[in-house]
Amino acid sequence: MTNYAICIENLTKDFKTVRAVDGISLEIPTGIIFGFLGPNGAGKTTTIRLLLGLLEPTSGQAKVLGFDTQIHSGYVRAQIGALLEHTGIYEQMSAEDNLEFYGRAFRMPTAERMARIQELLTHLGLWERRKERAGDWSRGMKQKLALARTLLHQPSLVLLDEPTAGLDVRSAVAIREDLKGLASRENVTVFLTTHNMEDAEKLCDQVAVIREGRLVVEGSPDDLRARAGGPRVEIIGRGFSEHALRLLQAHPQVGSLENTNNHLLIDLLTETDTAALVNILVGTGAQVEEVRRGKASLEEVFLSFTGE
Amino acid sequence: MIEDLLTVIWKESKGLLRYSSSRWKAIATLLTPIAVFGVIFPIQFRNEWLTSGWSVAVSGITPLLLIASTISESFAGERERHTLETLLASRLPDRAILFGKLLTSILFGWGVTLFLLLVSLMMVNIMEWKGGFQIYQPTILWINISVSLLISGMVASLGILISLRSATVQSATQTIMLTLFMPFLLLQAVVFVLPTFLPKDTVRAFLDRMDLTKILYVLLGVLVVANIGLLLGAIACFQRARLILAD
Repeated sequence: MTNYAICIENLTKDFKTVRAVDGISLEIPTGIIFGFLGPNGAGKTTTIRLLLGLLEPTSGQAKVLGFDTQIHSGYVRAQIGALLEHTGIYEQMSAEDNLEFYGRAFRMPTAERMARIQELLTHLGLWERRKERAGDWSRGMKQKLALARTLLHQPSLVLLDEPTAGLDVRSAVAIREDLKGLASRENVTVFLTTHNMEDAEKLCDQVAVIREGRLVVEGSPDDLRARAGGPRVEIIGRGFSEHALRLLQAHPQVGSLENTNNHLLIDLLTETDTAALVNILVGTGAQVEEVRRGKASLEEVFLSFTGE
Repeated sequence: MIEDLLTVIWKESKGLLRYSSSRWKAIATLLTPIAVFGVIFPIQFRNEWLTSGWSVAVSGITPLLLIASTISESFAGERERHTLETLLASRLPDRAILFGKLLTSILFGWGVTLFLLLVSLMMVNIMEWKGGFQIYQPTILWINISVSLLISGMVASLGILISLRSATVQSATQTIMLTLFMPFLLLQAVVFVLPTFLPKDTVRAFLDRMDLTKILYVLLGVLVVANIGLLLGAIACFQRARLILAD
């Protein structure tokens, strides 16, 4: 039997006249990194707040680690870690005091708390700077500190709301690597909201796309790519004539093709032997330099499902 | 609950005076009332300081000034610095967060006032040494302790109530100051206007008949009621969902 970290059933949240979350149902197995993708204002943050029991749903229910988020909200919050839209770091306090406070808040015994703070800060490369005022740190370092705080009490589930938003490329890569490393090392289930497809592509085992509060699609990134579009072939070369393109278009496995500066992008209806396609081109006198098989990127999947 | 309360008090005490733009400004905020009310006033009043109502007035004003200038940080500060949602998403219970913040302010205002009363007592003894250590008149001492505690509680509860609903520290501070000083302004206006309606002799005779101790007991009663009302108001206003949506 599959153990689910999160079970959401027909969850709906209305704010006056606006329906922020509209009948979402999801089952997220334990031990995976789950990406909740959607454009700004899609309902991602509201869903996280509902999962934390900070907001009451208009209808439906959510169970986190087997507990109803409304009936046992206190217990749910005690079991999970949350890195929300803002880092939540107390800038006037030192990095160590920030972790010390949340360690105490999660009632960690002193010795365990100290050891865990050292372990996490060392792993994230912040231990030597632990006495510094957190407000003097860069945004990337603060985000790392917030990540350490989220994992401090060794939660079995963490909720991360746009963890790389607003970070420069280097900091985003560092956070992504830290997150991936820590998630596998600590065997924690991660529920991650993002509109950054790189986060989803590199981190997530499963993703769901939300748009205007509704769940549009759900599955593994490969599954979604397959649903958004079939396999594709890229052919780079010279002398792709109109005649050659017409012959290719007539091939029964070719869905559509696009030629930009002798860079051919062919969407296939099913997996097919690319040699046949190359032969057609060569037969018309074209020169083929490179052939690449590929699939739609998650970004294309996202755009196709969100209609953007 | 006690452990959670102590955790919040620990955190609040870490940041209590660190929100000021500089450390010196924070020290000045703390030392100014001690210097004025704890040193200059007793030097001026000498022995009368230990028996008159002046020290009671100072016991009321000091926590009012200290708490009013720091309490707006409690929730409006967390909201402005985007730390409130993370705090509310932790396992800390509502009451621990609310009472932790409240108690830190009360202990700060009351503690500094008691320290100030001790400093002023030392000053009077230094200035007026009569071969033995003089202490406050028991009634004055008791009223000093009670008034400073109740004013601390009232200002802290009122401040939290306002801070819970304010978007920024600045707007919270303005509302707190206006709410606290409005009665004083009204009182001043009454004192200024009253002689035009009533003969001075009538007013003087009325004041002479008044018993200071009785007035102070009435004041204590009013403060107890105000404390209970404001505390209940703060408890009713503390709702995670409402705080999150106002963030």
